[in-house]
Amino acid sequence: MEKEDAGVILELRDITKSYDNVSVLKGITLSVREGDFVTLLGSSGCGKTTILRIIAGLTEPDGGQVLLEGRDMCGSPPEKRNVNTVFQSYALFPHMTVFQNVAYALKIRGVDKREIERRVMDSLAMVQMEGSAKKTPAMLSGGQRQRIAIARSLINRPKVLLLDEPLGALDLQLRRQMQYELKKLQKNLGTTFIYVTHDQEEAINMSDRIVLLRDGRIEQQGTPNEIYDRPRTSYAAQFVGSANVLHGDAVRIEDGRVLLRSMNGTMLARTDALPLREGDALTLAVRGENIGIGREPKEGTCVRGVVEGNTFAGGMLRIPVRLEDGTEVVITRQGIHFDFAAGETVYLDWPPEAAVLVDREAKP
Amino acid sequence: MKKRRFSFPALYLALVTLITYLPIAVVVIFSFNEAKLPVAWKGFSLRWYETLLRDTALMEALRNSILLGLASCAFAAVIGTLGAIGMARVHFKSKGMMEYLSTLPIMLPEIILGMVFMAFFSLLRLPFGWPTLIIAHTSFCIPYVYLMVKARLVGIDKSIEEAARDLGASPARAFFDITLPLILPAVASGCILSFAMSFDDVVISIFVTGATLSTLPIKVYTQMRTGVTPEINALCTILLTAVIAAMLLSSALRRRGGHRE
Amino acid sequence: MSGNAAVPALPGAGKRGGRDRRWLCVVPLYVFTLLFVLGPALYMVAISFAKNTAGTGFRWAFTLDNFAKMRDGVYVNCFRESFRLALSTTALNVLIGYPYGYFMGRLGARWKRIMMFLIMVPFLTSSLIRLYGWLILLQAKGVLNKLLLALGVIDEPLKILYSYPAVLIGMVYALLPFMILAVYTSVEKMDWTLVEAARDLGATRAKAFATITLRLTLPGLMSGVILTFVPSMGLFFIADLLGGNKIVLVGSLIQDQMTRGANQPFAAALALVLALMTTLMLWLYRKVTHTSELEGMLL
Repeated sequence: MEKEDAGVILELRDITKSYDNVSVLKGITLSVREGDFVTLLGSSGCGKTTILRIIAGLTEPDGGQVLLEGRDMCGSPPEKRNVNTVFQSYALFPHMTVFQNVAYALKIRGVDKREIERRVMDSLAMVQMEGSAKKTPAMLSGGQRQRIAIARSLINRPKVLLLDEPLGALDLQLRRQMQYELKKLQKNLGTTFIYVTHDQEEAINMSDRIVLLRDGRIEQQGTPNEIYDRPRTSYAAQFVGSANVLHGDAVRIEDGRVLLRSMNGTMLARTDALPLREGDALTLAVRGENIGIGREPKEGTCVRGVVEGNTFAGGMLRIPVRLEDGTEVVITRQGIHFDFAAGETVYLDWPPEAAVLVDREAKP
Repeated sequence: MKKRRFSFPALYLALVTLITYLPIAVVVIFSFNEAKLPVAWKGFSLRWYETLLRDTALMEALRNSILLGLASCAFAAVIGTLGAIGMARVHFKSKGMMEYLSTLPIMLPEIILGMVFMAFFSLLRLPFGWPTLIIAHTSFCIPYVYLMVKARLVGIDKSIEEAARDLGASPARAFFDITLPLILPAVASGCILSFAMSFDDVVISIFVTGATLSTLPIKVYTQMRTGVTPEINALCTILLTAVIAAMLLSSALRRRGGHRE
Repeated sequence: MSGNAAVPALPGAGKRGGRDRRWLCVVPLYVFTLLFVLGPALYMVAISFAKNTAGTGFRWAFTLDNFAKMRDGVYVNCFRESFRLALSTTALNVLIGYPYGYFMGRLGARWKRIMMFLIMVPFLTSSLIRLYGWLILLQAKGVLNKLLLALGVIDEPLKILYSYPAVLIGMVYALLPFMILAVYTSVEKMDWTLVEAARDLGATRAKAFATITLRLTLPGLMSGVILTFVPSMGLFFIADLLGGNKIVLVGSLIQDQMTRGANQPFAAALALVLALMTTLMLWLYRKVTHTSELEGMLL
């Protein structure tokens, strides 16, 4: 929002691609503003890597256009595009030293030797790898290779840097650290990053914008907050922030909230100015941390279920509750203290602002 | 620790290896024998090495074998390497069949190859001699290079070459900077193996060599049927030394090209 | 930066523009293979059905005479002999080579390299000269007899040379490296935790070997069998040199028909039968192991 005036650097128009008659991309239209950190988020097979390869020029789309700074890139080979890629496997040249790897792009362009030396060392300093210039990739750890791959792809000062799950092979702790460093690097350089990941946490932590992909189509795009707070579909709600999805019929609509009824009980949701009518079948998404739990029903706007147990993971307690219609709702709490026993009947409720209506377009 | 040294496996390996080297050792030892017949030791002498160097027919055969080995190995290196690179990229329907056909020469007994080439070259009215020898040898050298390079190419991460393109290299540049250096050890191994096979071949050569040209194995074979002089022993000793040197070189190359992701 | 901003966005334009002409690389291989592998192969099949004429020539006529001729006792016997020799060679190679390859595969990295070197040196040295070594060893007044006489094991020299055992020794010796390398390659690839798992589940050492190790190294063993069996059908010069002319193998027969006998059609028919037998073995190997490449063929 603060970058509203920044220009569009990259535009995809109705990109389609199939492999062996299987459609991988079904019309991707997307514009990326200069300096943004954009994440293509989705599960494996959603087409996110293919999009990256098409932007890089490593794969030709079947249809559609790729515009870089307004110029159509179609048919232009990867070496002619001012876009660089950090590959998932790092793709460091095993027969070259770290220095030679990073210097490669400059050498091709015939840059003067001393200039190469200076820029490579600057680049290595940028990723804190000055000491490893003479090593070969085989001598480096995963995290170090990662840094070299980034230094190598940034040496040409590309307009856009493409990163294909660059942190996928690293362990959790190193990943967190690298997330932070990458984000800082991107802010300092002001380079546009297009980042592919299947990890929603990574996407939320790093991105200015998230493009959620599903099955070769864009499911939703927006800032992390937008997608987190106002998922438009149940898929988006579940993928980003693992929300609970519940169904019900609209009973009453007033003051920007709607009352829904289902066999589990009654529920409230905010309407977000959607055109609703009483009797509509609706779907709402609500996150586990916003769900209240009690032994007594609350003012008639709650659903009833049975506690199934609880598990502790990642600093959070997850409490699955089975509703009357068989739906499982997962409630999350900080810490490990929980007063309810498995098998106990409980009543769940949430403030209407915490529940968002989804799948409005998809409903017939 | 000490006890393990006398384990059965070690003993077995040592014994079989020893037997393997027995005939070679005998040949080498008798190359320094004064006597003409390899039956009794008559004292140390280098006379057979001198005779060998003066034996123009044998030296010529040696020279021919080296030239033949180099030529067929060079042709095989080009055709086999290019073939492996191309085959990795194409998806023709004929690919499987062509792969089978092109490796057939090392799958079939040599005798068939020799016989078939002899008949075919007479059909084409090719003059028997260098052309026929080189074609025949190239045919069984190609599979070694092809299979070696193919195996190496499979082991190379595809995105490595893409990364070079991405960093600004043209397809040709990426090939020469990245792919070629990475497959070079495989090409070299294939070449060494090809050369060894070509240099050692009797069966196929006998059929296609013609009347005037002789390779070393053919010469040795004829001598062995009529009567061997210890010159052959001397030659063997020299060749053995060359093989050991080549092996050391090849393992050095291999270790240099051995880095994997 | 690309200068072709005006290029319209045709779907798949880049692909059809054919940037990657790398497929052209296969052209030399295709040309050579078609001309000098497929061509001769088809020619061989063709002349195996032709009619032999007096002298060196033959006449094009479709006849099965050349194949019918093979039913003659002499030739049947020759095939049987070749088969027997090839089978014995292969069996001995399995017996000697399997343990060798297996033990070698269990050595440490350093010793593996050393053993590899020791195997490759004779393998790459002229096979004829190694054969010559056996000739020296085995002859009546040779080293072996002298040694045995001196040790008092025998009273008079053994006549090993120019006999069946001598040929067998030569064949086994010439082909052993193929077997060892094939077995070694598959032993090297083995996941030894599987054997540990089998032992853990109660298998005895022998049982674990039979059910796990042997099963997993089978491709290597099979490959070794092919790599020794197939050439042993055709290595006529070993039988020739160590067996005198007592043992006539299919290989010698083909060579004889091709040169002295001057009967190209019959030689082609013999070669065709041999080739078909080989192809059958390769096909069986593929069926059993589900791989197309022979294990350990290339070091």
